[in-house]
Amino acid sequence: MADWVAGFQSLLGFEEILYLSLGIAIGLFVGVLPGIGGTTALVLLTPFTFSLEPVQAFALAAGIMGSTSMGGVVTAILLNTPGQTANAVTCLDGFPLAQQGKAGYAIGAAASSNALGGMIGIISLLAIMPLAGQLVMAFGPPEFFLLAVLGLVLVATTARGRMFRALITTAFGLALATVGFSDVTGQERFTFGNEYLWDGVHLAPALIGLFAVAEMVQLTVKGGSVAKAGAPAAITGMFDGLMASIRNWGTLLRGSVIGTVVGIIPGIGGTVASFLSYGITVQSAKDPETFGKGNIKGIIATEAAINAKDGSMLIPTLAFGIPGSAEMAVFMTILVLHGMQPGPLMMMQNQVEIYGLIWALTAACVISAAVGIFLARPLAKLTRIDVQLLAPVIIAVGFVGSYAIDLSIENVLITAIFGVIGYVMIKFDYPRLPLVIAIVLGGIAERNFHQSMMMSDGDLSMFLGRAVSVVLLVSIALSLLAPNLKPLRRAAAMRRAAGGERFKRKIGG
Amino acid sequence: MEINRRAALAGVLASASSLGACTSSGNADGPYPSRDITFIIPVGAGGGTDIYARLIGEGMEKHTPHPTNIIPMNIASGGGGKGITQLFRAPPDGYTVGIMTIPGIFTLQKVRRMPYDLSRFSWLGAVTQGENFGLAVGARSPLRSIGDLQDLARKREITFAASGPEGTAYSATQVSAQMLGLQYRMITGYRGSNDYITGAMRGDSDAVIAALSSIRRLQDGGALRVLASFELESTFPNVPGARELGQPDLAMITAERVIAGPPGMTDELRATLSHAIVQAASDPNVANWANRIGERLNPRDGEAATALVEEMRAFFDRWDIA
Repeated sequence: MADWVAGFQSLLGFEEILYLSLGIAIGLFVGVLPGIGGTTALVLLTPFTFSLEPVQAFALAAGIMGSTSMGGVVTAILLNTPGQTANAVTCLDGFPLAQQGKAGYAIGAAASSNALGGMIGIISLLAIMPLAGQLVMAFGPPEFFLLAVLGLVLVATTARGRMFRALITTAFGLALATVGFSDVTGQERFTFGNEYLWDGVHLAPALIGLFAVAEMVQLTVKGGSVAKAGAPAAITGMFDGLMASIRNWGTLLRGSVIGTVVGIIPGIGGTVASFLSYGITVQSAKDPETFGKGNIKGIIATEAAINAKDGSMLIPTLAFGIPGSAEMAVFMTILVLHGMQPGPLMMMQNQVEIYGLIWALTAACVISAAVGIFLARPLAKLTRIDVQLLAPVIIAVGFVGSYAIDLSIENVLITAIFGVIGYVMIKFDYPRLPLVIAIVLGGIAERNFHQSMMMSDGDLSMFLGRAVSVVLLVSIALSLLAPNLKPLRRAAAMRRAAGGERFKRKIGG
Repeated sequence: MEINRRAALAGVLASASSLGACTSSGNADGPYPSRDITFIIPVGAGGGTDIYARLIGEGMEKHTPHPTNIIPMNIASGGGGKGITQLFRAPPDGYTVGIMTIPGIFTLQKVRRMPYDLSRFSWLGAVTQGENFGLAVGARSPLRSIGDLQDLARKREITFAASGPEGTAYSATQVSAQMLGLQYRMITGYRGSNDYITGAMRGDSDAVIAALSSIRRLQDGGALRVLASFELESTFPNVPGARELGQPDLAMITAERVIAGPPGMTDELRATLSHAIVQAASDPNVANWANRIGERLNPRDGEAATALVEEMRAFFDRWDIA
């Protein structure tokens, strides 16, 4: 309990509040800009966090992580342009509401579900934390290996309609993950004698290239400004919107639970959480046909899920060192830079910092929701900045930041290469998230598999003797089968119906 | 088009000015030292060795013939191999030094075939006394004494959780297990002492060999049970030390942190830096930290450091460390 309070107190310094506010401001800003999300902001700021104390770095990161969603919601509603990929679902009901002149109502509902959903996610994180010690003891190398595999499978199979492309990028990521010294045998692989590659493909420069640079190239090629002209700008009815979340508390709760669960499993991410929540809400609604035309529940369900997962995503990242998303991967880099190794001992030894982080995240969630409402109109204007002004600045900052990480010019080369790869992937509609997740999870999977084999002296059946491993194996099997189960069930139902018809005809004579 | 050019120019200027901020200062004229000295730290920022190196660096600054800055530079890639290689290739002008942990670097060189030759570094000094290691099991383990472990080892291979080859635990585990005559198998690849000790706590492995300060801390916390100390005389109650186990050489298994310069430094430069290192030990910050962590100060100059490295190398060469 004392750590809980100490964590809060650690945030009360002038500098800490300054960095938290800075993070919130940055988060809202990048949230609004499409293509640049929390991941990009964190990545660009990583070199800057070197000089900060851990609590300050966390305040900054939490500020960003907690507020990008709110920024994304505003443009999703006002301009039908999702600020974050996950907010794409918010457009479905948000923009129609704006077109009906109810933009204020929509933004209000989004703001409150942001805040409330985020808090529910954090409460779940807090609830699980004391158990974290026991959870940690139940998760050893075999479980980490299977968790990594589960993450990889989920990223691939839930990329709706693009499953094969996701599998291809995943495979590419796994290949890249083998570059460097093997943790286990000390063998040098695919470095071609180049010292820079001893640790493999450096993730932070690759991320900068893949997301910041590639997106800017894409926007430059498209030309014009981010927003299309002619969208309406009157913003009223926000208070009603705020209350709407509370009135529809069932939807809010369901969305939060889905978001929390999705967040705990590494490798899925916000877009899936939002689609899942929206989809389930539509399916269980009494009036499904009103969705997509301005049903406020669509916004509530989506935003609650996105924000709940923000809190629970910290669990696999902090407790196991397995990042749940690209954003978490970058956050983990920041942690490591400050000498904190995510994992069981961190949960035990850095409790104050962790609680400080959680408080900062909570504050960011709530404050950004409030600020988002006040800044809705000016924020929308940002999307009209000509990309010719925006792109060079973002790209320059990206390259400089990449170099600054450890003063290696090779980083800049990596950023450039991945910038090209990223652009090509955008052009041909290959999802980039599986690539990043695969680079991270690939190394984790391989190391833990080898360790599991060392534990059992090569006996593969060791996975079956551990309770959690069995549960994970079943989950992997289900994730692979589930997308195929629905059509099978439908086919079976149709066969039964056909059989019934034939029977009726028979006895009918 | 106007916007395009202006924007591009602004972008380039922004990058150029920020790049300018990154370059180092100073030029090379005047008596030594006339510019900043780089201190290579081949581990990531924030760990034990890193903090140690930074403190020593600060201490050293006050004892060079002319005031200078000692700039720590973390180069952790390749398990530290990159940093050490960079030190090996640096010009021996006294403006680059580095810190290395023995025996980690011996194993690193052998296993990963690094492009440096340890016998050629200019060893400059050391500040703390290397820590002894010990053998422990998780608190939930059924093993209650070193005898239990030895009995078990007669029936099957026992497993030890350890780091990859760049860590001291890798060689320490192999040497001590061989000395104790145990049938063993290693589970390697854990990242850092936190990780492999947790592995033992969790039951991934039967036991673990780690630095005594870590073992003491976790035993106090109820997570580990120490079965043997490799100190000559054990300071743990009811736990045998190296002499009692009949293997006094176990006390030679220590993690020593030694500061070195590139090969080919002049005797004069070596003496100057050596002096700065030994004097750094008397810096109050260093003494403070050593107290807090439980490290013992034992300042040694260049000659003593060279002898130490030779002694340890001869010792570790006798054992089969794959």
